[in-house]
Amino acid sequence: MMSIPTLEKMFLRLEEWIATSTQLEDIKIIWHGGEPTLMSMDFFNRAIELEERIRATFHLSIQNLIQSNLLNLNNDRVRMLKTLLTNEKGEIGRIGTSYDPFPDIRIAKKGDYNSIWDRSIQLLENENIPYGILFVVHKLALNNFDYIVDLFANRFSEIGIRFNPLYREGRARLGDKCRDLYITSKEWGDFLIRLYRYWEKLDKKPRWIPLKEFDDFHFSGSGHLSCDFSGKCATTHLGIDTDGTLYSCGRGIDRKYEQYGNIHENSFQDIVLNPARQRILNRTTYLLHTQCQGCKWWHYCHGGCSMDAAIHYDNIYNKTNFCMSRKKFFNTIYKVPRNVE
Amino acid sequence: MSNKQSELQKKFFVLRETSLFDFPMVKQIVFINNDVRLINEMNDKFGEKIVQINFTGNIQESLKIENRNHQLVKIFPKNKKDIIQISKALKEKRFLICPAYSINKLEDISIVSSMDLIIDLIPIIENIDFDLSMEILNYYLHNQNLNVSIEPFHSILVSKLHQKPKTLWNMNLLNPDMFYFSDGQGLAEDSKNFQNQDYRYLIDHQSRTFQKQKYRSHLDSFFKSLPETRPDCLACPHFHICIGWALYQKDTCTKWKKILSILQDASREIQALEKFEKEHAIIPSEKKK
Repeated sequence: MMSIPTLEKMFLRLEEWIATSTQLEDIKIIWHGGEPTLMSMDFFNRAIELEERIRATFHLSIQNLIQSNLLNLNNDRVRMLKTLLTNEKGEIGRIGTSYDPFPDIRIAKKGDYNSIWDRSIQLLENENIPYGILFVVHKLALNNFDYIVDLFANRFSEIGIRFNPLYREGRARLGDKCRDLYITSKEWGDFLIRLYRYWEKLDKKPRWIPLKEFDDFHFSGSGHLSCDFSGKCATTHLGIDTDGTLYSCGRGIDRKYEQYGNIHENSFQDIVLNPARQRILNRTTYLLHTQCQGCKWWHYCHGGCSMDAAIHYDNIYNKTNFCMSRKKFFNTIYKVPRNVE
Repeated sequence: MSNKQSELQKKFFVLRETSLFDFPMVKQIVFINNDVRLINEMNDKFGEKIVQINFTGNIQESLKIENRNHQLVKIFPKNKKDIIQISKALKEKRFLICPAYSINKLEDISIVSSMDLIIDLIPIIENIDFDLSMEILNYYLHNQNLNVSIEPFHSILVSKLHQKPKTLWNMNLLNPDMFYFSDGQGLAEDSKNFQNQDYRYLIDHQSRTFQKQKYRSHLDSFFKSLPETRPDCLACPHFHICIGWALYQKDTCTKWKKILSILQDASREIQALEKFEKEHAIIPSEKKK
């Protein structure tokens, strides 16, 4: 767990960075775990104080978001989270939470996972805290496609849902049970196509990611692509581990892939020039001139997430192992890319 | 569209002869020739496809190029005297001057730019001495009397300011994803390959098709091997512009690293200045008061 001195150091580094940066406009902090709601109330109250100091000194916008399994919420915690998530304009940042309706996929140490989750959702709704759901697509979901999409379309019609394939990372790397749940790149592509066909027929298209982002990007060009499609991840994200070690992002922390340094020793200015960061930053350029050269979907994909390549090939200088599924999806749904120069 | 045709949908072909113009998949052309009559003839027929002309003949002759489509025209004068004699006409034509004479001192460049002629050092920058290169760069960045650009410095700086990287490979027309060179017989990724007829495609003029050859791209191999052979390149802050160019068939990238660092600093300085001016701009209504 992150200590309060490390938290304070993190904000000190942030202040140093803001003071010297010419391009920084606003800041998003995503509290991610493990499980961030296991942190003490004192920890988050201190974070709120430190953020207020930055807002007052630099007149910058800070938006907090949090990723939680919602297993450790009560009324006090929910109220504290609401304070943390509310920005200077009074807007409340979203809580992202994983959800899986299949039994025994997600397990609580005490009690039934989904019952606890349901109770927590009620607490969030009582406080008008917005939330979004991450659904990890695994073998069971493929085999129960209709059940899954009907559930999300009906029960969570107003909620943003992100569909991610099951990555062989964290707990999903271990054990025979997870092995049975893995899906192939082809299966992921077929799933996305099926999902799109279902989604496009809905009266009011819900915010299902990545479909909504693809549509916005393809049809209006005004959209914003997620980090695993934008090719800009190294410039937009920074992952800070509990001991202050810096990585590319949350997935970089999960993999412990190439440290950028540690906030106890390095400033963010040092980090910008760190060779490990440069190596990730340069991956997009490298792929454009090698494996992705001439790919008509380049502007939609940019070779995908470097951590996909790290997991699958143990080498980030490869395109995502989901290349085939992405191409199949784009070729089937959009056929011809929009003109991007 | 067949795969072969699709593969040939390149943005640019770099031509030394005329025989590719009839092929519909040729999108845009950089035309290299020393014959003004031929250039004008081709310009009349296929002007919209020609985006750049490299005229390698006598520069007096270059004035006869009818640049109706406002293409970029590069000329290669062998001495400064020739430039001075027709400087007014060259300025009007807005041709880029690529010195084919040796550059030994700043004056070899400054005398040309003082006549408001745009200098393009791309083809020769590798041959210019390190210190002199820095002196020219400094002259480009800090001489307030300079009214015209000096390439490649200007393009790099602008691309940094607009955050649209222009790669050194593209500036040198070497990029198998963008450019093919043609001598009329075949298509190659580098004009140096003509000598050994090392073509990626042979042109069948009768059937109007391109015949794929057994070919191993030197440039593709170079790019692909970078993480293993040049790991430092992948950790370099200038990789997005250089992509290994500074070490392609060269021993050291010291000069390019220095040039790119200086231009990077300059772009940051300009951005900071712009930001400052924006933040401290006098609002018109306040100005009145």
